[in-house]
Amino acid sequence: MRIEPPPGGQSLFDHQPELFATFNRLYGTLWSDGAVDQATKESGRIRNARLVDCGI
Amino acid sequence: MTGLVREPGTPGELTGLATGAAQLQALYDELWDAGVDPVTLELCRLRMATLIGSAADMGLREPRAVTAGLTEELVELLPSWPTAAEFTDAQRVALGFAEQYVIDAHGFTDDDMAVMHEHFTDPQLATLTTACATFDALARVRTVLAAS
Repeated sequence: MRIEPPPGGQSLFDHQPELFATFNRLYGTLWSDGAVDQATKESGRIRNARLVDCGI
Repeated sequence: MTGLVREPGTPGELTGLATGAAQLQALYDELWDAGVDPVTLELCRLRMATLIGSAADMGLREPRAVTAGLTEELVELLPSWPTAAEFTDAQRVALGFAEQYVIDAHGFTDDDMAVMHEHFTDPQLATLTTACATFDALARVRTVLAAS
């Protein structure tokens, strides 16, 4: 990992926990709210991940 | 289109998703107070907008960056950031990261990150990464929606 997480953390974003929490609230809303069904959203997410070759 | 962006971070594209719009606005606002010089962040935002071709973003200036010292002279020099003496080494490193983020994320190397570590702390790198992700996403949304 190019940026190590802080002690007790799991990712680089744990270096900025408040910012990460704010992002996660938005991310959660994108999945749990809105007019588009989750299968369609997940299809888009997976397709995007494959296009940029993100293995996570 | 109506109801779209009028200033950086205004998430007008999400007007049909009020909660998400408010959360996106909160994320955008927090970025500017999360440990990275606002001028550096704004230079990255503008450079990414240029590469993506988001006219809506290119025409805007983040007030917090202007307050922190961003000048139009520096903005005009952005295309020559690798060599222009007006940019600090840290700004150059950040701009290189921002460009690579847009053009080819896989082209970013361990050596590139080592250089970034010379200029930014881990918390600052977390902020810069989150900021570039947000700027990239917003510029692409505004471009695909033809926001002006």
